[in-house]
Amino acid sequence: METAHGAVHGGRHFQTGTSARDLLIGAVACVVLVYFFARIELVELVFAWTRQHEAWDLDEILAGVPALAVVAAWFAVRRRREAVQLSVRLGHNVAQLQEEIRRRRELQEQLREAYKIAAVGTVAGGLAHELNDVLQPIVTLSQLHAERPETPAAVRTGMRHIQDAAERGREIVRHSLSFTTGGTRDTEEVVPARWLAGFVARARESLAGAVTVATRFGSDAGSVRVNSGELEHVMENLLSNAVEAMQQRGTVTVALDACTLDAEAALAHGLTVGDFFRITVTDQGPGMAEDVRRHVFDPFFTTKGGAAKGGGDGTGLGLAVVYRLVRGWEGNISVHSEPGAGATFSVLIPRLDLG
Amino acid sequence: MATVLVADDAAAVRYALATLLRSAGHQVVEADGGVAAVRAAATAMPDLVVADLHLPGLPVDRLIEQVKAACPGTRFIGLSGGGMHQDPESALRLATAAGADGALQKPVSNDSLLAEVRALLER
Repeated sequence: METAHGAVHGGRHFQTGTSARDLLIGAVACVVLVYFFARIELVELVFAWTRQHEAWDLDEILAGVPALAVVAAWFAVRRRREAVQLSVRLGHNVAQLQEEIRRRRELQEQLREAYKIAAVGTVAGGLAHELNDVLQPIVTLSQLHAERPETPAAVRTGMRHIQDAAERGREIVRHSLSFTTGGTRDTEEVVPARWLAGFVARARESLAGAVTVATRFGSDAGSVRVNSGELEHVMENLLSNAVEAMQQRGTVTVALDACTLDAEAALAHGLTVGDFFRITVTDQGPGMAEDVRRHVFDPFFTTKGGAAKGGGDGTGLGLAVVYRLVRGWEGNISVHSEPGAGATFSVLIPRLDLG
Repeated sequence: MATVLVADDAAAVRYALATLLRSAGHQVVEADGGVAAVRAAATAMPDLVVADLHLPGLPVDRLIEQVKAACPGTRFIGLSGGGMHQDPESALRLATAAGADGALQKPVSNDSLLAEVRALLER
């Protein structure tokens, strides 16, 4: 701070330090104050009770001492004010930079995610045909021999295991294949509020346990264009994950509201500016650590055991497929979660133009 | 019981489907490619053809057309495993559009295949 520093803020150049102008002001103030102090015989006033006025010939010089003190104090106050202003502006700039860095990181992550999923889609498409051909004789023959009365019991048990494994393989291929099917399905106009009410009613019926499904619908007008089978798949997946996260007890909240994305929000979500419906599914589970949250939409990422538990299949493809489907509607899905504070999945779907 | 032609370029798939259909009481002939399937259809005159949609040698629309020309009145079930540029559902739609009477996605369960076979033979 001893020399001139500059900080750019909003296009303005802000400078601090001792300028020629300040020195001139200081010098003039000093002369004026010396003159003023001499005029009012300051030294005499101060020292009158100890000294004789006539004994002093250096009044003017001595008056300079308090004058200099006043000027120095003025400089000090001014410099301090400048320093405070500068640090506030610098702090503001740093916060802005940090925000910008955070936003760019998020975009990079989304881009990486999209690349990864596109790559998996390409591989999955190529593999699916081959794998389905491989699975066909396994599925057919294991079932056939397992059901034949003349098959020995031990072989029959083995066949059933092969059959289960083949079934699981078929499920994995079926899920993988949905990576290659984005945008090829028929879409229809769906009113989210009405559709969700039906979905929640069905869910309550099928859950019929300790899990409560609460709703908070803030918007009931307007529609979206999706494949309702895909929507069902997405919501079922989010709900069953929520139920599983809470270990089958607690409250899952399904909420709906409308929102408008401005340029910045749209960019952050990889979407276009406009009106959206936001469907959120919130659980009261243990939440997710940052490293889990970051990978939750990655293909083959799973926190579930290998075997099927609860509603999830544990293939690590459930949420990856959900992601793919939602992107196929030109929407986006994101998750907010902290350890110990549950998780909220938000699905944004473009709202059709009103009228 | 009916005569069924099973056409698939994978021997294991052919064997499995033929075994299943035989166990259901049908007489089965096999073919390992598109051209062989058309030839087998002309000689065995099957009541039903169960064929892979991606048989080497003939595109699916030509395959169905030629099989039906060689053996008028036969029913055709297409089996699809999907592919690099095609999801199974659109492959199945394509098969139906090309004249297939039924279309199933591989790997098809025994019950589904036998139900489809029965339904088409009764038609």
